[in-house]
Amino acid sequence: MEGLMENTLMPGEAMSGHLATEEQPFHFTDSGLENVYLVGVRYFTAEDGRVVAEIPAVNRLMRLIAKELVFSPSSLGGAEIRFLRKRLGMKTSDYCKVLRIDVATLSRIENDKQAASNQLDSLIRMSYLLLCKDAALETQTEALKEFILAEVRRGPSKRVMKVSAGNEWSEVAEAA
Amino acid sequence: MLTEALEEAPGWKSQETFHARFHHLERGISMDDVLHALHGSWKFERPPEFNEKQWQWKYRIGAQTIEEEPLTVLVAVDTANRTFEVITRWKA
Repeated sequence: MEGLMENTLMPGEAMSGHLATEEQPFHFTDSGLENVYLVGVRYFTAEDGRVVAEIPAVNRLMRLIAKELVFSPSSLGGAEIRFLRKRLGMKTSDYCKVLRIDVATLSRIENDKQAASNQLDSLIRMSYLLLCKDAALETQTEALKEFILAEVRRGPSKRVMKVSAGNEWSEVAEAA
Repeated sequence: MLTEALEEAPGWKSQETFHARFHHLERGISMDDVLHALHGSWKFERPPEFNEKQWQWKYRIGAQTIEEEPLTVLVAVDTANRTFEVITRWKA
């Protein structure tokens, strides 16, 4: 059954406009994340409290949020992982094939019923960099590819540790 | 033009202004579901309607979410102000 959503604002409906400021930012829940706020956009409030925002270049905004997540030092939460998956335009079953986990596991992770392991967290970030079509991330993607390929070419690395007077240990640069 | 409006900042490549205006999304639909629907293959679910009072064309677009669930996006095109507004969406 289809139906008009109750919070719909119709064109021409009386609305009061506001500019989102740092003091009063716009809570961008439509992103799918709970902690994203926008400054500088216009938003409109209807008499009954309903709110809509006018967001220019929304794709650019979404890419920026994704980039911030990928390079965030903190572990990815469930909503953030879902956000990155949706940014890639991948449905759950396809994303699970990329990550080599089962659908139930991803569902638990995206719903914060299970934390992603550190390895999976890294894989999610790397898969985003490799699979996204964001020109602004191409340099990072290439850097990541080069890093991985250099590791593969180099093979198992040999680390040489040297002890000096006073039992101080230091790493010796590997000979070419 | 709609996809350009979603992608580019106002005024880019053109003196005209393009905006995409979105509602709070619900029922597990996020902005990316709507973007996926608009960027992907879609069809008009019914002929466009013109509102003379508001000078807007209203298009009802049938598409799919990322999870391939049916999604209807209602887009209002203001030909006078050259703006696009995603004013609502349905989900079967």
